[in-house]
Amino acid sequence: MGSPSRWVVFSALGFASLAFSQEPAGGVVAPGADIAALSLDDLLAQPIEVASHRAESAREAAGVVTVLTREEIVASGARDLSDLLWLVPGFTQNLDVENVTGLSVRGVWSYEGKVLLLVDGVDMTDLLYGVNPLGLHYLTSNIERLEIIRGPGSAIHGGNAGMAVISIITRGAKEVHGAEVEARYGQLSGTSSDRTIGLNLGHTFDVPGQLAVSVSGYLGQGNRSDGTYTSSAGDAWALSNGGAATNPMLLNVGVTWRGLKARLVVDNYTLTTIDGLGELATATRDGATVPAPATMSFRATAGDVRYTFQLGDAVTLEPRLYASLQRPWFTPDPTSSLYYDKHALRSGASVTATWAALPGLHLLAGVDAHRDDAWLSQPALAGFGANPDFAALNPTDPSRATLSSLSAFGQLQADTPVANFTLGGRAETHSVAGESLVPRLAATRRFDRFTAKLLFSGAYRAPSFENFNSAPGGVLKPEELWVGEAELGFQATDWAFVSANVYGLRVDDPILYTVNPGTGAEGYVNAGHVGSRGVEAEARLQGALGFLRLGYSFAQASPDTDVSAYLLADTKARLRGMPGHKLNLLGHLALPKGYGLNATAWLVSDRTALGSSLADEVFPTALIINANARWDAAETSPVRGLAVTLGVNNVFDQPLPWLQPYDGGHPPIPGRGRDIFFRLGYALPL
Amino acid sequence: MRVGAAIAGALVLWSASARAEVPPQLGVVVMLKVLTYDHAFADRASGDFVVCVPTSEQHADLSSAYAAIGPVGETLLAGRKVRLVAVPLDGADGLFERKASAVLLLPGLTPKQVERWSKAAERLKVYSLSLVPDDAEERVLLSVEEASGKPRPVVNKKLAAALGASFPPSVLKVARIVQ
Repeated sequence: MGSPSRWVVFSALGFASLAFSQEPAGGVVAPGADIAALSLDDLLAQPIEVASHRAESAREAAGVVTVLTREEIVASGARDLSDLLWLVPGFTQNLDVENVTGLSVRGVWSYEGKVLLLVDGVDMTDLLYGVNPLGLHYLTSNIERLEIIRGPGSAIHGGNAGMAVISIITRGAKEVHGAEVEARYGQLSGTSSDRTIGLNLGHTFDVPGQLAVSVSGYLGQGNRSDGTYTSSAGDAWALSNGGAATNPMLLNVGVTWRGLKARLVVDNYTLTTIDGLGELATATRDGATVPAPATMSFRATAGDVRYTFQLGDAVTLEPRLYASLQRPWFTPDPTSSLYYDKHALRSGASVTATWAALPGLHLLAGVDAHRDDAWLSQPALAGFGANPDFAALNPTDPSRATLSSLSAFGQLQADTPVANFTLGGRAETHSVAGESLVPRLAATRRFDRFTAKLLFSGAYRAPSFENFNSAPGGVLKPEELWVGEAELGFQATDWAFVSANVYGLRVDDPILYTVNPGTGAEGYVNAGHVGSRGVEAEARLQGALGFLRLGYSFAQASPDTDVSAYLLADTKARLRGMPGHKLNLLGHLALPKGYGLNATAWLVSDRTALGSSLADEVFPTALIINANARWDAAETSPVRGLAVTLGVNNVFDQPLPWLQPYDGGHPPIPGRGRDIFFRLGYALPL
Repeated sequence: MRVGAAIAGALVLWSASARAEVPPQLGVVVMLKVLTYDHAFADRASGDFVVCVPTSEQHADLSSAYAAIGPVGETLLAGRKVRLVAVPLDGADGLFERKASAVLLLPGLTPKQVERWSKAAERLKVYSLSLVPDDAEERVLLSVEEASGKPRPVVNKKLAAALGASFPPSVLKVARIVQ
């Protein structure tokens, strides 16, 4: 691991950030240039390549990819990212603690440190624990497109991308051309499910270089459930009285001018939690300790600035500066049993180069360096609630800690008559965790209507601050992931595409969270092996009448999984809280005069996890069906730009509780029941 | 040394065996540049140069090609802002409302779709462009093809006459003319 020779090899290969959404290298004309001013002779003298290093479609990308377009997002009636992720094969969602939910991928709990979430290329992952909370967090009002790698992305994107990469592309100046506003209200039987308002602004200023500015944002309130939570102590709490709120607030500003791109994302996601670590959260009121929902927020101000230099026809160079200031899990009440107040700051820089070396041969190479700092916001309150200091990382000044990382990545893509081959990898040296090296190999072949992919990737996850902080002696190794995938796609007709893939994955030394529900003491350890294998399939039909998208996934635990926190007594076929099968559907029927009928559904097969009785229970198969009707005003209508949606989520009020996927002693939080929602959107061209 | 020579040889062979096609972005830029030579170009319209591109994000080929030409939407054409507008595959009747200056057909359309869109363009007297050279044989005004490793415009003179477009000899000399 990390021997000098391997470093040299991978540095020489260079890296390739070959994400499928990236713009092509070797652009023909610079942004803002006037084509009329170009020389026709020069244009006609351009040598032609087999295939430029270009944006790749999901069909061609060297990965197992799901893309949800704006059209699909709008039709789905989804209010947020969580709703959309139910429509992705292999993805389910589970409960961590404190009303925080996250993602499981391919039958393995992945929320903590294994899924990278990007908003317009900006990493939103929590620096202290490495998590991405879901549940009315990222609203659909400003999402233009969702691109998901259902598999490892570490070779390109670094740590925290072991199981999946979720890339949110928001609506920018290209899409908005003015102003858009969207208001939404949803009502459960006992309380509102969500009431939100979003605004998107975008304009391209006609100045040399074409200055494009976009601003989008939203705020709102929501509730995860209106059911009754029964704590690990047997106490009941009606969530319609609070205790499971999910309140989003986000501002996203983007500027592009010539090759310059700048982005700022300010996120303030606030929750209330009565569920704590399983028992009811408490606080001191009038001198007495009483059950009381705690208010907790995930705050992040993150952004980057990058400039793409076009060096000749075949080379680009992109330096990038980025930073993220965070205050995750911020629970301000010092009397709360969940009190927590720490800051974290990441500052870093990267340089990525691309080179279209020969027809069909493309290289990418880059380096990235960043430093993470974390500190107690209130050093005098260290030790209150769940607010231990950083002594395990920095005994000399336990009020703060620093981690740093230097990595190099490279990728070579070669299009040959036999197949398109991708060879890449990433090497990283971490100030505490040491060195990691992960390869990426892919072969894709397109023949007639078929596409075949063979993929093998390594991935890793460097421990985060709190991982180290709560590990015995502060010692923790990076966990390593190994994934093999094979996919076959078939464009049956112009309107039908189907794909299916098989996979096997293994995580060595997974970083496992343990918590003592009684004391709240956390711990992190490297624990054996966990893995899964399975099948995923997607079918997409598109015609004049509308579209239909179907997905299926099956995941089975690997027999050599030996992490006791994930294992169940009654079956070894699946892990705690995980379904074996999942089906998902998204359909849209286009009707005349701007009307449309839409439906989404997901079926989650039975799962086993801790129940309210503090014994393992089997939670039966649940089928969640959502439907909505939408009307878009015609372009010739006096109310052009208006869109109205009326819908029902969970039409049959089926229970799909939030289950904890490890033995953390946390009973389930009831799922969202039936809710009726209304959405009003208006687009005003400027 | 021998390893280096072997790699270089393999790359050359590989290059020689490669399938040649005009990259979408380059192809579109070439066609737009050729349009500026049309004698009637300046008289046709003012404001943004709106290029309607029939596509569907459900169709992998089309969405891939559309993504590839995206940067063209950040350029100017004789001082006019180029605006690429993705339109539904069945939206040929909406060209007028969109104030289209041109229709651009991407690889992956069915012959019927090409016919429908080219007829709509002809009816409204807007430029029809295609990244598929064969389309210029009958249906569209202008395309681009690979010739000797370089891009070459393909101009359909009959359609040019029908659209009222005419190009100077200096352009026709470097293009393949379809009568």
